[in-house]
Amino acid sequence: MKKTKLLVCLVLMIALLLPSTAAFAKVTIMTNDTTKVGWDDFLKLLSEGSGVEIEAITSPSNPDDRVAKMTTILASGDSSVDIMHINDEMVTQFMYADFLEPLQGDVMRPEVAGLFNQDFMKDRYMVGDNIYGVPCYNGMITLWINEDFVKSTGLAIPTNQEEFEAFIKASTDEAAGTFGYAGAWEHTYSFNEIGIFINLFSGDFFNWKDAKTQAGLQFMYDMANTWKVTPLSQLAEQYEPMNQKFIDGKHAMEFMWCGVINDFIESGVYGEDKIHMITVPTFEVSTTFMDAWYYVLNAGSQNKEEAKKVLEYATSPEFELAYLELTGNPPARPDVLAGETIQAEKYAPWHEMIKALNEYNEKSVLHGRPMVPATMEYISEVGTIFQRYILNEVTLDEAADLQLKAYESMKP
Amino acid sequence: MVFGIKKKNLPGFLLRWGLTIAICFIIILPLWWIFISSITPASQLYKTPIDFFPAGANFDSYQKVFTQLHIWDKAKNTLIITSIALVSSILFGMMAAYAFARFPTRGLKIANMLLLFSSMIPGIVTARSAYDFLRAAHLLDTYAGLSIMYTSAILPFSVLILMNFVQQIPVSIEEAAEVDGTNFIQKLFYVMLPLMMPAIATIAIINFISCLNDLFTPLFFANRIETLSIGITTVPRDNTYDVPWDLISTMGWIIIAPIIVFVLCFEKQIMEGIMAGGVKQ
Repeated sequence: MKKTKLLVCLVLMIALLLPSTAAFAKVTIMTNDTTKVGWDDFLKLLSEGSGVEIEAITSPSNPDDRVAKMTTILASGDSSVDIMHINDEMVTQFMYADFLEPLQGDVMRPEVAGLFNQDFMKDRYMVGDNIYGVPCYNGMITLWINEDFVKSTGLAIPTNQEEFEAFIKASTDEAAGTFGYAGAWEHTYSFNEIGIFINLFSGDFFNWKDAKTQAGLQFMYDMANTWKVTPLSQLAEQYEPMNQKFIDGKHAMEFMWCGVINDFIESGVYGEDKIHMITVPTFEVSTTFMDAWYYVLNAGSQNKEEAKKVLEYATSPEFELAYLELTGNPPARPDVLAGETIQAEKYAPWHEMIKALNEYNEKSVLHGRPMVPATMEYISEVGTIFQRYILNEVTLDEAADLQLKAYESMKP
Repeated sequence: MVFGIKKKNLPGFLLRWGLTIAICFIIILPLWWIFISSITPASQLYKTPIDFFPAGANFDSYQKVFTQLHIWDKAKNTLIITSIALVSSILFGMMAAYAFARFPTRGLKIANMLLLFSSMIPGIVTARSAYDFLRAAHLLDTYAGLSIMYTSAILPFSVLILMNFVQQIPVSIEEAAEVDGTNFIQKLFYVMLPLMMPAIATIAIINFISCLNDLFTPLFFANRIETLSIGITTVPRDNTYDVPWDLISTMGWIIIAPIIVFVLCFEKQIMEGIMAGGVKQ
C-alpha cells in the first residue's frame, strides 16, 4: 500500500515536472492590455479581423520590470513571443539594437504608412527607411487650464507668450499656495516639459548651445525663480500628486497627457467652466509632444507571416476604434480621429477629448519626444542637470555644456 | 508602586515598553498605510494631509484585482511551485547537510563553500545565462524550470541551517542505530530525519516566505505561468503615466497577509529552529 502511494506521488511529481504542454497558438502577443476590462472581446476581434489564432501573455505594467523582461526575451533570440506591445522609450531602445523586424515591406507599405502622422513616425519609430512598429494609439501632451483662474484674473485664455506670462503671473498667490503654472519636474518626469518649452521657442533638443534651446530653459528658470509662478517643490513632483493639486484648485495651468481627462471627469472638475484643454499658446510656434504604444515584431519570431497579418489588421480603423473602446486612448490615424465613425454615440465618452485633439492636429506642430537608444539613462541625466540649473547649482551655460556632454556620450 | 511596579524599576519598565511601542509603530505604520491605500478610493489617494482613517473606504480595488488579475490561478501556480521547491530543498538539503556535517573531506568542504558562495551572487548577474540554459533545456516557462530555479535559490540557506543542526546531534545515536543493524539509508531517514524535524520545520517556513516573495524568478523565467508575486507588477494601469497605488497596495496586502498570519502562527518554531541551527555549541 505504502509503495503504491509512493508510486502515485512520484508519477504526480514527474507529471508536474514535465515541460508545459499548453496549447500551441499561431501568434503570441505580449501586452499589459490583457488586464483591462473587455480584453477577451478585443482579442476575439483581433483574431477574427486578422484571421490568425492569437495567444496573449500579460506583460508587466511596471516599466522597469517590463523592460527587463522584454529585453531578456529579445536579446536571447527567444521566439516564444512574436508581437510585443511597447512604448516610445522601448521602441527607441529596441530598434537601434536590431531586436525588431522592419515592417515597411509588407505591413507599413507607403499607402498605409502615409495614413499615420509623418513627423511623429520619423521622430519616433523610424531609423533610416525602416519602420519598426504599428502605433496602437497616439496620445498628446495637452495644456489644461482651470477656468476659475480665468474668471478671477479677468484675463483671456492665453494664446501667445506674452499672454501666457501675464496669466501665470496674475494667477499666482504664493501666500495662498496657488500658482499660475505647475509641472512634474521630478528628474525623470521633467524631460517632457523641457522638450516642450524648447520646442515652443523653436529650439533644438540636441543642440544645447542653440540660443532658442537656451531660451526655453531660461523661461522655465524664470517661472520657478524669477517670477516664482511655479513652486520649486515640484522638483520632486510626479504626475499623480501634481494632478491632485490641480484638481484641488492649487494651480491654474499644467501640461498633461490627454488621457488625464478621465481623472478630471471622475473627480467632477471637467468642463468648459472648470478644467479643460486649451490650444498651446504660440511662443515662436504652438507645439507639443505625441506619444504612442506600438505593436512590434520580434526579429527572432518563427511566425512572422502570421504575425504580420495581425499587425496589418492593427493599422485598420476597426482596430483603432476597438482600441479606443478598450483603453480610452485616441486613434493613431488622424483620418480616423477626424472621421465620422468616431462621432457615433458609442464613442460619446471620448468626444470631448477627440474634439480637442483634432484641434491640436489642426493648430499645433506635433512631435515625437527626442530620445536616444539608452533612453532611460538619458532621460534621467537630462532631468538631473535641469534640476541643478533650476536650483542655481550651475549656470545656464554650464547646464548646456553638461547636457551636450550627456548627449554626446549617449547619441546613436 | 505604579501599575504594580516598584518605583526603582519604573525607568527600565518605561524604557522597555517605550522601545517596544516605538518599534511596533515603525513596523505597523507602513503596513497600515498599505492597507488604507488599498481601501481608499483612487481619487482620494493623494489628499494631503494623509487620511489614516479614510472616509468612503471600500473594497473595490480587491474586487478589481480578483476579477482582472486572475488571483486564484496565480495562487494555484504559487502553491504548486512552492510545494515542489520546499520538498526538493528539504530532501536535497537534508542529504547535503548530512554529508557536509559527517564527512568533512576537502572536496565536500569546497563544495559546501561553493554552494554558500552561489547564494551571494545576485540573481540578475546570472539571469541571462540561466535564461539561455532553461531555454535550451526546454524548461523555460514550465513548472519544472521554475521549481528548479526556486529550489536552487533556497537550497544554500537550507543546507546551512540543517548542517549546523546535524553537527549538534551526537554521533553516538547513529552508532547505536548501526549496532541495531540499520543501513545507511535507514539511518538517514529513520534516525536522522526525525531528529532534524525542528530545523526542517524552520527552513520550510522561512523558505515558504521566500518563495512567496520571489518576484525575480517568475518575472524572468516564465510568461504563461504567473505567481502571486507577479500580480504586483502586472496591475492594470489606466494610462502609462499614472501609478495605480490603490491596486498595487491591494496586491501587496494580498501577498503580505498570508505571510503575517503564517509568521504569527509559527513564530515560536521559526525562532527555535534558527537558534538551534544557527548557534554552534
